[in-house]
Amino acid sequence: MIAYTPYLILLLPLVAAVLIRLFLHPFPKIAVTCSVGACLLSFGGSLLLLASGTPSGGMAAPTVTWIEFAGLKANFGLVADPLARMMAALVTGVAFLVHIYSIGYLSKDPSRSRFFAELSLFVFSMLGIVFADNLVTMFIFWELVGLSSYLLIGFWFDRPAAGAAANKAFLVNRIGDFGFILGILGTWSLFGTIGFADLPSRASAGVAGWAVTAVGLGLFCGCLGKSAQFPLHVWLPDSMEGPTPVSSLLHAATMVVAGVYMLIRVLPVLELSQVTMTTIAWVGGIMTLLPAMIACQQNDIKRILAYSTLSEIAYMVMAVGLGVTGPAMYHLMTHAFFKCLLFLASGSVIHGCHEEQDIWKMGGLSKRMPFTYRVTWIGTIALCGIPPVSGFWSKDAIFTATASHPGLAAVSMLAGFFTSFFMLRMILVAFGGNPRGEGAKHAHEGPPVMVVPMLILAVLSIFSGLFPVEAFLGAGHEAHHASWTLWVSLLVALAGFIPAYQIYAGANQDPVSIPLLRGKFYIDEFYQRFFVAGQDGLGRLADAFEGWVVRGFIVRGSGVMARAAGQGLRLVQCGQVQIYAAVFIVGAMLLVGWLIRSGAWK
Amino acid sequence: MIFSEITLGHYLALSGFLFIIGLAGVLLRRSLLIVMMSLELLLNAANLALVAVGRFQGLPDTQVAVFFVITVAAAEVAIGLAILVAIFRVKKTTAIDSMSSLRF
Repeated sequence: MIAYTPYLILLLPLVAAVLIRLFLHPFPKIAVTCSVGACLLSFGGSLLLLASGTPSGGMAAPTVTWIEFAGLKANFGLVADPLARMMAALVTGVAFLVHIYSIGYLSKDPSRSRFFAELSLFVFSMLGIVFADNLVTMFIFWELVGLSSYLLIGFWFDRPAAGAAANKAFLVNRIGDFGFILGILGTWSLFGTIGFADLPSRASAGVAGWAVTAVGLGLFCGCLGKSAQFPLHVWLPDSMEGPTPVSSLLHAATMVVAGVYMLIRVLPVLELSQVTMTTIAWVGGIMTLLPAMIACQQNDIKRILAYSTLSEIAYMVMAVGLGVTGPAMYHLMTHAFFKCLLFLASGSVIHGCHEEQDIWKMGGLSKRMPFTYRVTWIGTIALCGIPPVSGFWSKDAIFTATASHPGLAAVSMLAGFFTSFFMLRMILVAFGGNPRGEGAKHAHEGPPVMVVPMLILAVLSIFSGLFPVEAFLGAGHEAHHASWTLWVSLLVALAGFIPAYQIYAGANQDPVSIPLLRGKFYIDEFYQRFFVAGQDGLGRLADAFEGWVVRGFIVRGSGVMARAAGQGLRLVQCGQVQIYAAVFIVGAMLLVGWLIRSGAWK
Repeated sequence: MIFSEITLGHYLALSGFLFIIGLAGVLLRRSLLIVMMSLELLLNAANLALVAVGRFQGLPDTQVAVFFVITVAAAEVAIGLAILVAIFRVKKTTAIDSMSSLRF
């Protein structure tokens, strides 16, 4: 019975999504209950799964053979090893809290049935990635989360910015997915398997060379797209056009870390090539720093958090690149809690200030929204890695791994400095001082359905550092020893608060303006000029070809020819019966003459 | 003697002569009535050739066929004349070159 639990956990949200889409759409209350209920049941199942079985042993659910030809055998199979069990509990738990929060956040939205259907679809797709036991199954669900992300970013599709952001997210992810699918094909051709269970033994058989590097980088491409790492990170800040619960669940806590999860699954392949591992570690290392710097000059509260998400995921990617999966998953979990909390708090602020997202138009919210103010502080302390809350422990685990790589340690710790800086800036500007906008003057806390999930997440943000993640995953990591990285990272993070306080305490407008950071290193503009413009040119060329050659010459040309022929032949029809008769007779005579001449008339 | 005996050639020559007269009438005359009369001449020329060939080849079936042609021609003339009268009522003329109203 327990073997079927993954299927149950996986399919319940899908059933909810289908039910809402087909039948419950006109009844928002029932639809919301259905979606939340499915998520709750999935969460319950995940907890049951988490508690059962041996911590180290795998537990495979029954598989169904799906594709089988020429040596390629793709099963639709689910696996419930400790990694999947932990991730499933995390995903469904956070998703459940976000479901609850959304009830309050979207209480006045007329199309909230659609929202909850799409949210359920997302939970289904995400759980599919979590439980997938081979790369092809994972890829299917990988695309499904892309779809649900697209639908949810574009939830308010009547806003042009939301539509554009949804398209951007989808297209940028396509690029990464293309690399991913090449990586999957490469994995199959090199190792003859796509199942995660077989990969370690096949990979240890010792295949080496540039092909392994290429396959590893291809798989990493998938992570670049989904986890929004450089150079495909541009979609994540724009995705903040979606409703805040979506930003919280998809674009902070769960979906964007799917890339890291996937890297951990295919680690045996990645580890075969030192080039791949170094690339992953350094992409992660650089990406901790760049978004943290950009975030220092952003004014949109959600974009600040989005850039901080980029930076935090980069820590996990870097950890995977260093070969330490335990700390990566540990940080993935704590990050899911405190970043989800921060986003929900920002949603509470936006909701309370009547859809105001510019921190410079807020101010003074610490008095009007004391609860949100406090949980934001908890999230910030966790994010900055200040003891004793969760973020400190998970970040420390990653920093410990960087101890032997001074370059990576330097950039990632510098990122910690900027993280503290922009988080304190956000708090001081949005919550401190006096109200600077109409919305902030009338700000109010949300209803209990919004407050309670934040409270639970705040508790988790503080205490989730105690969860024995690494031991549960059986990573066999040695006990923490206080290395030099602990003290340096802590000092650097605390140092970030000082300039932020001096510059932004009581500021009414931004005293600092660095165009390079405001312009996000002009990466969007670069893409616009070099890639989008080229695509546009190609599009225009294709349009011209279609307009002039296909539509003009071939389609309209044939019509014009028939018309011209008709016009010409019309002149023959003079209307004189005797001329017709003469033509007929001449024709008949010619025919008879020809028949006689050719000798056929015998 | 040329005229001592009437051969198939004589019949066919007469038939051809009649046919050419009919053809000229159909192609050249302006009055629809005369054109229809010329058509009858064409039919009769063909009939004559048919019955003559049948007679000289010893094929009695052709005479039956000719009777059929005459019958059908009578019917055709009846309808043709009816149309002619109808056209005349509308157009007040039987000139064949005025009948081109179907021309685009």
